Amino acid sequence: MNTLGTHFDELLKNIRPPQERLDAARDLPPKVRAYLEKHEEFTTVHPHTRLAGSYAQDTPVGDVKDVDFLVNVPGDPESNEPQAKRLIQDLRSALDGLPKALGFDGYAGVDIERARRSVHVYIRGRDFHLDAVPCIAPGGFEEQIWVPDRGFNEWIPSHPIGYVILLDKMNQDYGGKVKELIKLMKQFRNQHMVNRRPKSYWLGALVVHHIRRENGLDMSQPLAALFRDLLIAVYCQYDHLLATSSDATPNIPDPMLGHNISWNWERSHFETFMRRLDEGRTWATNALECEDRETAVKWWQRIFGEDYFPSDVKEAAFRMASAGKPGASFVTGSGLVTPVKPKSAANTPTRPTTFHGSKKG
Amino acid sequence: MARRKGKFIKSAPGVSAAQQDFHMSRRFPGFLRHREKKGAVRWRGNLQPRVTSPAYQIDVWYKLGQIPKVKVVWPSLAANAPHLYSDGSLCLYWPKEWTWQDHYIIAETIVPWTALWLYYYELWQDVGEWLGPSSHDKPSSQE
Repeated sequence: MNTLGTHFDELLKNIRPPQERLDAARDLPPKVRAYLEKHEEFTTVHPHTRLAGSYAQDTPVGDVKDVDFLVNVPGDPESNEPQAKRLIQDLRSALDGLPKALGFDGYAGVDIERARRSVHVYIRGRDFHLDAVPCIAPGGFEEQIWVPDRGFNEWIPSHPIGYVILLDKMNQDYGGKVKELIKLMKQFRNQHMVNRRPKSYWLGALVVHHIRRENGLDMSQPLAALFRDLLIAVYCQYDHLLATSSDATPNIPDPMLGHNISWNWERSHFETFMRRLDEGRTWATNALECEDRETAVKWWQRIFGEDYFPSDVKEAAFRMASAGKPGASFVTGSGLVTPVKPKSAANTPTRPTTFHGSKKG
Repeated sequence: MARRKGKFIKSAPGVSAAQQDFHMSRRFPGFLRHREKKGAVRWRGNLQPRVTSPAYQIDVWYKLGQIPKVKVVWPSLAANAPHLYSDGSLCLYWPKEWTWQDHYIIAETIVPWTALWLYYYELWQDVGEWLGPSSHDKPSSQE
C-alpha cells in the first residue's frame, strides 16, 4: 500500500492559510475584545469575546479570509430580550468604528454587511473579514449558548466552543488524525466543488460522525487510507437517498446538539457532492492499490490538486530526517517524534543511536 | 538479514520486570504487559511516529539477563526493509557503539528508538533511502 506519509505531510503544509492570516486570527480577538469592552453604547459581559470558527478549531484550509468570533451580551434568550434582530443592528453600529480603532488607517473604507447571525466587518484594501456573532452565554462560552436568528427574530441554541473542545479531545485520542482528516475533506471540496460547496461545518460533522459511530473508521490506519475509507463511508451512508428519492437530502446531525444542520442543502448540490465522492473514492483506492509511487502520486494529485500534493519529497524527507535526529528529538507517549520538547504531552528525550542490521532496501 | 551480535554485559544490579513495567506505564501508557513463560515479559502497544502514520502495533519482549527484542506486529513491514535482524526484530543500535545492560530502562532507550526506527522506515519508503544514522555508513561496519 502506498501511503506516502511525507507527501501527505507536505500536502498538509501546503494547504495551510498564509502566515499573515494565522497571525491575524491570533492577534485580532483580544483587540476586538478591548474595543468592545470600552464601547459606551454597546454592552458586553464577561468573558466578552472569543475566537470561533475554523481558526479556533485549528482546521482552516487555504486562504481563509474570515475570522469568526463570539460577542457575549447580557440577556434572556427565552423572552427574546434583547430582541435578536435589534441586537444585531446594535452590534453593527458598534462595530462601525472597529477598523479605524484597530489601526487600519489608510484603507479606503469599511463595508458592514448583515448575515443571518453575524455582523460582517470587511476591511477593504486588506481583503480581510471579521464575522462577529453576538450570543447570550449564561454559563460561559464552554457551555451551550444562544445566537440570534435574524430571519425569525429569536435566539436559538448553539455550542460552537463545545465543538472546538470536542475536536481537541478527539484529535488527542486519535494521534492528531481527526483535524487532519477534516482538512483533507475541505481541500477535496475546494478542489472539486467550486460553486455547490457543502459547508465546512457539515464536513467536520461527517468526520466526527464516522469516527464516533459503531464500527466507525479504523483510526489506526495511515491518514491516506483513512481518507479513502471516509469517502467510502460517507458515500455508502447516503447513496440510498439517490436511489429511493428525487428530492431527499441528508440530515447531518450537529455533533454537539444533535439537530439537523444540513436542512438547507439543495438536492442538486447534494447530487454534485455524491458524484464527486464517488470519483474521489475510486481515485483514492487506485492510489492506495497501485504498485508504483509515481502513479500513486498522480492519483492523489487528481484528488487534492497538483499545486498542493507534491511529486518530489526528497528535500522534505531530508529535512524531516534531520528533525528526528536521535539524541536531539523527543518521543511522546503515543510515539510521535518531535524535534522540540512538546509542552503538554508526556515525552521522552531520545538518546543517540546508530541503526544496525541488514542493508536491504 | 543481519545476525544478532549484541552481547549482554552484567554490571550494576538489574532492573526487574516490574520496575521496567513501572517506567513503561509512565512513559508509554498504551503499552500493556503480558507475562510469558520462564520469567519473560512482553509488552504490546502502539506507536505512531507521525500524524500521517499508521498506529504500528509493537511487541517488546524481555527477560532479565537477555537482550530486549522488538517486533512490528501490524502492519507488515516491507519485505526488503533495512535494519532488521534475521528473525524480523528491529536493529535499534549498533553493538559496537552501545550494548544493552540490564540496569537500563527499556522505556528510555529501546521504545523511543523503536519510534525513531519507524520514523526513518517511513522516510525510506517515501524516498528509497535510509536517512537515519546507520552503521552501514561507518567505516568499521563490517565487523
